Parts: sequence; structure tokens; C-alpha cells
Amino acid sequence: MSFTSLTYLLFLPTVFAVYWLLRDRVKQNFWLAAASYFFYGWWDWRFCFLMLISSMVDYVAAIGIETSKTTRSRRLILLFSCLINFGMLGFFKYANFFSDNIRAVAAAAGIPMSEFTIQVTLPVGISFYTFQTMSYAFDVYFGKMRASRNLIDYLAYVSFFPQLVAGPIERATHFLPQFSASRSFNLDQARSGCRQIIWGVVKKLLLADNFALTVDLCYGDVTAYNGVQLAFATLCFAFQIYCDFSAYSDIATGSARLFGFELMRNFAYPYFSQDVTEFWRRWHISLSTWFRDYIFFPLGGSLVGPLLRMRNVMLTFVLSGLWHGASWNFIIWGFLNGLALLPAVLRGTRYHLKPTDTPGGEALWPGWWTLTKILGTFLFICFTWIFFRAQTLTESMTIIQKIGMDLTNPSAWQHVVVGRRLNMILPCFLLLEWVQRRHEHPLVLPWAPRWARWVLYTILIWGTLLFMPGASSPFIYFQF
Amino acid sequence: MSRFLAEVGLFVFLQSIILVTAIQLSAPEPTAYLAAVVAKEELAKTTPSPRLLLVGGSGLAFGMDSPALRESLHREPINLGLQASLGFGFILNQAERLAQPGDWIVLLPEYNHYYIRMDEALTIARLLEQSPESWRDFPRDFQFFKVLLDSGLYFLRERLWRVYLKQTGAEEARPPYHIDSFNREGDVVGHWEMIAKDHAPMARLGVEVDPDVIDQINEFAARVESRGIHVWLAHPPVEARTFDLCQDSLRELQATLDQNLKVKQLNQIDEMRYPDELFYDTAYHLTRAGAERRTSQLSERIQAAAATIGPDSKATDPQPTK
Repeated sequence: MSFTSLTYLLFLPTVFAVYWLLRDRVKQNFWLAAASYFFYGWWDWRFCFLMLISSMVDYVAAIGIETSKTTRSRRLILLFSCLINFGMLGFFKYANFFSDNIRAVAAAAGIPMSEFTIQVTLPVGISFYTFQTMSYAFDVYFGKMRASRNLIDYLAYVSFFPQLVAGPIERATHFLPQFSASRSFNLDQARSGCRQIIWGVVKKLLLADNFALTVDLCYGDVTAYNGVQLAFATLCFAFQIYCDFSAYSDIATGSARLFGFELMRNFAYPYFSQDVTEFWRRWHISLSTWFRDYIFFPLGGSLVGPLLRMRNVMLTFVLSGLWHGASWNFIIWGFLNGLALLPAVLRGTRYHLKPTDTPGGEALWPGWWTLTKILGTFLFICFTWIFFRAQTLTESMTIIQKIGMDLTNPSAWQHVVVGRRLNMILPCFLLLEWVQRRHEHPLVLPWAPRWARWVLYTILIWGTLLFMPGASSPFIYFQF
Repeated sequence: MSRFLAEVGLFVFLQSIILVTAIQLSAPEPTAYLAAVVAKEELAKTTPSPRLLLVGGSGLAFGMDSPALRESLHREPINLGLQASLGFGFILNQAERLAQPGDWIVLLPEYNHYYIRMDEALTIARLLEQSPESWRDFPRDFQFFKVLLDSGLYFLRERLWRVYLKQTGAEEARPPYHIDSFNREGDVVGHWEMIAKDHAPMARLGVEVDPDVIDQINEFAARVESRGIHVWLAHPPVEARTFDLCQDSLRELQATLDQNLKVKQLNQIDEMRYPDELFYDTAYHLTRAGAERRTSQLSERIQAAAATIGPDSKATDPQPTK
């Protein structure tokens, strides 16, 4: 069920109404779990079994880990949990990738191997909920929390529909206690939730889907466009993926607030970052902190020698790339980002940045040097997005080559057609985000009277409905 | 909570006023492409026997020369083809309702129909605007309502866009997706004098053939044949580059149909690989030359098939039309 559908417009109020009529916490959690499985099953009812298996494996594993008397048995149970979860991911997501590469290596070595491919549909959200359940098992193993003995609370935590399909990947230490505690309706929280949902819908339908038109056209047939057009399409993709993914998180966070839950912040104006390290503290925060806490730190993090520090950073980012998809493109995307972080890691620079820190400083005008760093970081990130969006490695290299050749060719610039709609929307969007960057999202306007805010929401809603493209684009992160 | 509900209620009420106003201001366009459904239904109701019903999607609408069929088969052709994204269920149900004893029906499903359910909310909503009675022909099952709910927002967008276009005096491009592009028999001919447009080939049809679609065709045929109607199935032409990209799937489809389809096939998929220059703006829509070639081939096959079904079903002299 997509957040930007009539179905969700009917689903959310229905779940909300029944939820708050059930004043009992246990009944509320049961209702949330049932509604979440219905939400997930709307795509394909068979997916629900997979999610249930993943949930039950880690529910039982966590109890087993906690009750085990020896370290060896605890480790074995954790290993079992990882095998099941990674096994599921491996089968649905990576089987064909590894099969193709093994075949390619075998062929290079002169060993014939028959083709083996699996025709399976990737269950929506599998990368997200398996990581969420695994982090729960890890946290119990490392003693960060007690294992839950309440199956309903736990199932509701794993399946919670606002964040089930595309995150944020919630940590059990932060999120599970919210299911164990009673919730009471909070007017300010609910209003905040509604505002954030509106902003998310605007970003997805008005911005991301309009950028997608240009991106799909150019990246759909890269040979038909020159380097300048492809550069422009890459720029559009940078905003498409940001608006698309952060919109999902906004709608998820807003929806969760209607039920009295607080999700972790997933995006904090990443394109206003002054270096790549800061970018990765502002972009897809739930995933980057997951890899930091469960891959980077256990490997030793930055507390080891330079060579091992390099290994830790590169391995973390390559795995992060692989998480996104079974393709060399994603691996290279992760590799490039890891490479960009190396200087800071090797220098031992300590970052104390929090997502709530205002990017670019507090002043309205950031200063030339800050602006240069912001633009430089943004351009590097755009470069890495080429690998993220292109279908193949060859296509990525073709795009880079064309951009390199045509950027300095004046005749190539004549063919860039910038849509009037994007011309107007993009600068307004950037200005709004910049001015409001100290708030969680731009619709936080405590100084404005209610009537003015309602007029603004109305203009945004109807403007979005009018100027959104005529056909839907699925949320990008549904494919991961 | 009551304060929150009051605020939300008031906000929704205000938006509803805008919504109702927008809907009132955005009347259905009588010249829209899908408005042709009314004329096609009228044609099917008033045309006397003997008749030939052609059943399919826009590939059929944009790919037939029905007057030529009339001359060769001496039957009144009725091209019911409109748009594949109305869904194969609708296409079959409409044909079943409009068919009369003594009719010949040629089913021409687009290849995608065999793989995925192509119902599209926007197309369905546009059709219902033009012809609310068409509601009876839609398979009103869970999947149908799911499609409407999941994508219905885009119909709202379309209604707003019409209001916007009217207010700004802008017109969206029309031909050939316009009611005036149809001839009397229901063929789209408005593009016959136009230059073909660049378009991307279809890279794939789907993952696997849906056996339910073949069952649907078999059941449809059984029901209409019990009413004295003859049914055949013909495969549509597809452009060479699409055929080449999808040839494995198409061959697999042919094998599956040969094994499971109980309706006589008038042609084989392999024969329907047509040169790219015979296509207008999609992998299925034919230019004039393409439509004429396809019609000629289809006519020969129908005549050959008709010769095997008995003396009461041969092509006859056409009856005067009303």
C-alpha cells in the first residue's frame, strides 16, 4: 500500500479511529500489528509469511540468547538468527548476482557452468525489516536490552506499518519500549504528524515524481542524450532521490506521531553538508548508524591502526552499497563514498555533529567558503549518484565519459531543455529548506497564525494535485 | 482528541468544498478518445447480422481497416478495440454482452494481457465518465477495486488539470487520440496521414504467462459458442525490435497457447513480426500501411477458418444497414 494513494487515505484514519477507541495498550498493539500485516499484505499476502518468519526467528533467538548459560550457545543462537535473516536476503536479493559473478569467474578460468537464475519477486521492505529484527537480536546479545517476552508488542514493533517498508530502521532500544508503554493522545504530537505527512506528500508527488520524468527519460536511453543533458538528469536524480526517500520518512514519522510514537530522524538536510562525513550523518541516518554500530564498531572502528581503519571504513561502505542492490554499481557507489571518508578517518577527526545541528551554520547567509564546501560536497555526491541510478557499470562509465566531454562543449548546452515547472519549483524548494533548516521540516511555522498555515497547506495540497505528473512512480527505496 | 478531530474535520470540510467545486467545473470531454465507447456500443446494438466483432485494445483500434474486411468477408465489421488498460476482463465482458447469435468474434488480445492484469485506474475512470453504464462490464473483483483505490488520485489530478486548462485557455494536443479520429466502423484512422513518432520498444512482456487468462478466453468462448457465435483468436502484429527483445517470452507464450487454448488461432505469433516502419507511436499501433497489411492477412485467415465451420456460417451478402 503506497503512502500516496487513496487506499492509504482511507486506511490511516480507519486504523487511527479504532486505535484510540481501544484504550488498552495490549489491544492497541494487537490492532497495530493486524493493521500492519494488512498494510504489508496489500502488496502481496505471501510477503506476510516472510515477515512473520523473520520476526519469530529473532523473537525466539533473543529469548534463547538471554536464557543461555554459556557464551558459546549464545553465539550459536545469534549465528542461527543471522543465517536465517541473511539467508532470506541472500535468496531474494543476491542469488542471481552471485550466480552470475561466479559463472563469469568460472568462464574466465575456462570452467563451463550452466546458467542458474531464480525468478523471484523481491519482497517489499525485506532489507529494512530483516535489519530491524537482526539489530534487536544483536542488542540483546550485547546486553543493551532485555529480550521481549511479549509477542504482540514485539510483532507490532517489527511490523509497524509507517516504517515497515522503507524505514527508518528503528533500534529496539529506542522503539520497542514505546510499545511496552501506554500511550495517550497528544494534540501537539498529532498536529505535528499531520503537518509532516502533508510535507512528505508534497515532496513525493510534486517534486520527486516531476524530477523522475527527466531522469527516466535520459537514463532510459543514455546514448540518445549528450553529456550536458545527462549531467542535468543526474542533478535531477539527486533531488528526486532526496525528495522521494525523505518524503517517505516524513510520511512515516508523521503517521507514527498520530499513534503516539516517535521515530528516529532519518534525514537532516543532507545536501547542506560541508563534507562527505557530515553528509553521512544527515542522509539515511538509520541505515548509516546501523552499519556504524553493527559493522564498523565491532570491526574496531577508528580505534585501530590506519590500515585497519581503512579496511573498516571501506568494508562498511561497500556492504552498505551491497545492501542497496545486487549490482557492481552499488558496490562502486559505496566504495566511492568510503574513499571520500578516508581522509577524515585517517586524520582521526572527531565529529560531534548531531542531526539536530543546523547545517551550514546559524546565519541566513552561509559565507562564501561554507557555500563552496556545500557545493563541492553536493557535486561529489551527484557524481556518486551516477553509479546509483545507472543500470550497469558500462552505462555509468558512458555517462561519465559523455559528461566529461560535453561540459566544455558550448554546442552541447544548446540542447538542454529545462522544464518551466522545475525551473520554478526547485529554487523555491531549496530556498524554503535553507531558511527552515533549523526545524525538522519546512512546515514547522510556529510564528504563523493558524489561518495562514491552513491557507499554505491548502495551496500546497491542491498545487501538488494539479502539478504532479499524470502517472505514479513508486518510492525508489521500495526496490531495496 | 475532540479538539484534534474538530480541527481535522474542519480542514477536510474546507478541502471538500474545493474538491466538489473542481469536479463540477471539470465536466467529461465529449471529444475524448474514450468517448468513442458510446459510438461503438451504439454500432454494436444497431448493426444487423451478419456481423464480425473485433475484440481487443488500442492495438486493434489503431490497426484495422474494417471497410476492407466488409468487402472481403461480406459481414458488417464492428471494431470494439479501445484501450488495453481497460483490462482484459472488461474487453471480454463487453464483447459477450454485445454479441448476437450468428456473429463471428475475433479476439485480438495484446501480448501483455497474457502476463499481467492491465487494468489502469485512470483509463477506467475516464471511460466511466463517458459511459457510466460500462460499469457493468468491469470485473468488479478485489483486484479491480484495489487498482481504483491505489491509483485513483491521478483521476482527481486529471479533473483539476482540465479546470486549469480551461481557465488558462491552453489546449492539450489531441489527434489522433480524439473521437474524430474514428471511422464509422470504430477504427482509428486519424493518424493515417500523420508521420510516425519516435517511441521506445517494449523491453519485456512479463515474468510468466498467467494461466487464468487462457482459462478466461476458453470460458468466454464456451459461453458465446453455446449462443451460436463463432470465436477465433488472432495475434496482433508487433514491431520487429520489440519482437526481438521479447522473442523468448513470445515463443514460450505460443507454446503455452498451443497446449492450453481451446479457441482456434488464426495465426502464429512468429508471423506477426512486422517491420518497425509499419508502426505509428507504440509497439502495437499501426500506420495505414501496417493496418492494411494486417487486415488483408486477417481476412484470408478468417475466410479459411469460416470455410470449415459449416454452410450456415459462411460469409453472406451484407444486409442493408440502418
